[in-house]
Amino acid sequence: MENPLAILLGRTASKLLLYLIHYGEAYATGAAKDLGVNQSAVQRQLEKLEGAGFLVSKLVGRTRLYTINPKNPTARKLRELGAVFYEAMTMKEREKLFPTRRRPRRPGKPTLER
Amino acid sequence: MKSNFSYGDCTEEQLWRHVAGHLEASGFPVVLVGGAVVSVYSRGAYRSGDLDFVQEGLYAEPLDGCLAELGFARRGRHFVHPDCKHLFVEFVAGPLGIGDDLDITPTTEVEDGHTLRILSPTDCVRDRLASYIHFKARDCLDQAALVASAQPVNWDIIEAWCLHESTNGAAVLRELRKLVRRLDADAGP
Repeated sequence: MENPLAILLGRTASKLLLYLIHYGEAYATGAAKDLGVNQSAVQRQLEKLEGAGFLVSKLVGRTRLYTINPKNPTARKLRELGAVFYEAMTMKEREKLFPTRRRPRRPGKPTLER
Repeated sequence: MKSNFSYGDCTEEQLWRHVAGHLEASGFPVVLVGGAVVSVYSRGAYRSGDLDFVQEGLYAEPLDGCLAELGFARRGRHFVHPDCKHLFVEFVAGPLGIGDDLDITPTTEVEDGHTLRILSPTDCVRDRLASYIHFKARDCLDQAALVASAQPVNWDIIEAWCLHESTNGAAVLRELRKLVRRLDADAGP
């Protein structure tokens, strides 16, 4: 059975919302790779969500970085809704959906396979 | 539609009155938000370079046709006018809101029988402070100060909002008051 968040928002948008809650930010290539979704579909969805005011973006180098719009009241409600589902995910589900470590990492520090 | 409006050298305020008046007359009420509100309230001391509108109504019709009557054409998310190189128009998603506050009443004024709507000076200050708080956009603090110095604002509302919006709200408020004092002193008696 499709999860309620996906029924409400669609699969890609619902995954992106959870992704943004988990990582705090997203760029199309990285999110597409992590979520196993077509990159142009992710890009389209990010642009759509930005156009609706739910997300804001800025260029970092040549990469457009998206975050949930903290200024927008409806975006805040959307985050709250997403958080309900995010909190309900098991650790295993989170590891599967968000496999990449994106927090700062000292250059040269060895990486253990997860 | 032919018009004597001078697109080439108009200010944000002049273009707001022109465009919003035309939209209102055509049955499409809009509210001016964002940096252009600072331009209006600071009497041009700040130039935003664009006009952001929120269209009233959840299922509002696209405005392309109505804006085309003025000579504007859509370019991506923006509307541009061939004679107005320094300003463009954009419609941002509603509803009106600042932080958690969705109870926003725009300031209205009637011009040539049409009602023009714009964020109030107090809400403009809160909106700019929200950008400062959430996006760390220092220029937005300056914009908030410009408006608070040039217009009567409700400091009680601004203070309560600041303290609710951010754990750093008290410090933000202190910075704002300091800047406003400096601007007021520069302006003289």
